[in-house]
Amino acid sequence: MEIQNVILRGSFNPTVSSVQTRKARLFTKLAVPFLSEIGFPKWVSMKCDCSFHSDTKRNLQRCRNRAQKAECKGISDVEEDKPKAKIRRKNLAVFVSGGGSNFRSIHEATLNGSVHGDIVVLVTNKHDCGGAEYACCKGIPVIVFPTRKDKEDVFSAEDLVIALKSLKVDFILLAGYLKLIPAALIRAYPKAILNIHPSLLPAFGGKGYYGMKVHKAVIASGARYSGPTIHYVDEQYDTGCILAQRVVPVLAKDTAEELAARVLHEEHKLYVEVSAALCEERITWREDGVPLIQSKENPNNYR
Amino acid sequence: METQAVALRPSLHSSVPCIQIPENHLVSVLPKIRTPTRLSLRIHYSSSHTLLSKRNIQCRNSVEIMDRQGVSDVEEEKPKPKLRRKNLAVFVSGGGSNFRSIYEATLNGSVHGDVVVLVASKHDCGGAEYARDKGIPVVVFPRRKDGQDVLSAEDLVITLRSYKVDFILLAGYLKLIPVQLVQAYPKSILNIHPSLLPAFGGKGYYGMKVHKAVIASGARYSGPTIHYVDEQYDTGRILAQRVVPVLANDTAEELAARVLHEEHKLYIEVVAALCEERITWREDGVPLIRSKEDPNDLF
Repeated sequence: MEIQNVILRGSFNPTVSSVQTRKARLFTKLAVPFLSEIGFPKWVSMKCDCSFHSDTKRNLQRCRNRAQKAECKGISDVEEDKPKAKIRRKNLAVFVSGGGSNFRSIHEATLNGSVHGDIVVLVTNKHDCGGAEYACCKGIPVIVFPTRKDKEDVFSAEDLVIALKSLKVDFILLAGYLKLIPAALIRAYPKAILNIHPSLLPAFGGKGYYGMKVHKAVIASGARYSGPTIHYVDEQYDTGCILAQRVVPVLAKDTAEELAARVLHEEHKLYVEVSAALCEERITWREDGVPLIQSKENPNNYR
Repeated sequence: METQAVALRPSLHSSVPCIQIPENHLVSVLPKIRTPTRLSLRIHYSSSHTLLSKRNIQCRNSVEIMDRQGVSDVEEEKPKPKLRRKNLAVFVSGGGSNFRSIYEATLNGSVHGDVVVLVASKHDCGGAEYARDKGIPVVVFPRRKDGQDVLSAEDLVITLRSYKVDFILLAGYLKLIPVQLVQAYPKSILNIHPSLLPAFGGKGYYGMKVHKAVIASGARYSGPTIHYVDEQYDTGRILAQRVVPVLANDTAEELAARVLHEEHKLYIEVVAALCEERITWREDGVPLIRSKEDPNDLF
């Protein structure tokens, strides 16, 4: 109740303890309808079609629930998994250009406990894409980047970095984002940006290899195996260190759509597993610079 | 006995009924080649008499097998006797473990063909020594430039034609196949590469370098690829692949061993399919293998 009052009144109750004060400050930043409090640029999407603005009650309810959940975690950490409670929940930014099926999959995993983090913002280059619509409906703020060239106001890469930093984003997950990540963002988030690509990199990757084009190229080559790859992002398309892969067979009679569906099924599972590992701080780095995932069940096991 | 006598006597007459192998196979090679006679001396690397006698025994064996097949095909599996045994040329540069593996498969019946010639880029490599030991003729190609005699690409084609080679199998051959050979044997030259092409392929990607690159990239899967050969390194249509995992603490040697194990199995399966004429071509040009057990099953 205390925290709800804080959000509504936009001020701190002086009788609240210092720990709760810190939490309250955090929650005011997360309170989506009150964007002016964190000085968000006006490019943060207000163009949502769903009843986002008219139904502030629902949003407050959501915020309140989240606040209560966080509070519960603080008070009752003996009841939760011990490792998780000691590990801070991570803030995730997801970047999409299309339907956002990986985004939805990860979002659901953050809600059901599989992923120890929260998606705090969605970034997209298309304000009306499926991923953006889903984000709006779930109360996740949406940033459009890069903005269209005909727009008068330009939202630069540095602005994007500032926005993400203000949301205390820990990790950036690209999930079907077709634009090249600006160097400024990569510098600001070293070893913190992941991408998923629908082929066994380094095969069928690079500029021009996206979406159905990848699967068509795989089939045309005669390759008998394909599968998703998750890799860290550097300044070129699809060339950063590989973090995880899965394999699916390519059958003799496969169409590109059938192969795409088979790979997508594995993409969802893989991105959730990797996001979970990321949020639980189970990524380690081999001497030669290859990132490895420490198994949850057996910390001596790496893959 | 007839065959042996025929081989020793360099006459073209033969009363042996099974002429699937060329008459006087070994001896007739010599006059047909248009290159200088120095070539023939190179081919018979070990003493010609020993080689001839070993080859004769082989010829006799293959004649006998043909004979048996002709007479008793009701006893063998029906499809095989109707299919001609294929003549295979294997190209190596190194130890030749895939060559040995395929050779043994031709002897034990897994592969319905015979390795009739080995082409090596080095006359003293492991594969060449094994071939000589088994009585398989060895051709060195390409020749070192300081050598006195030069075997041109056309000569190589003529040589292979004289052996009635049906298929060429590259098994660790590091030189680029000359365009004349690719043109002379369209859709008949296969190569095995120790990664999942198109990843980690092309000029410079061979042997241990491939496995080191795979590990350095962080790729979690690798495996052999068999593909048809065209005029560049590792770019022809893929015919078959197998997958092995790359483990977090793998060395290049451990990964190489895991891939090599799959290479041997895969090459035998593919060469068996080749010799049994089970390769078919999809509309888009991708080659497929028809399953032996179920001809409707393609992979």
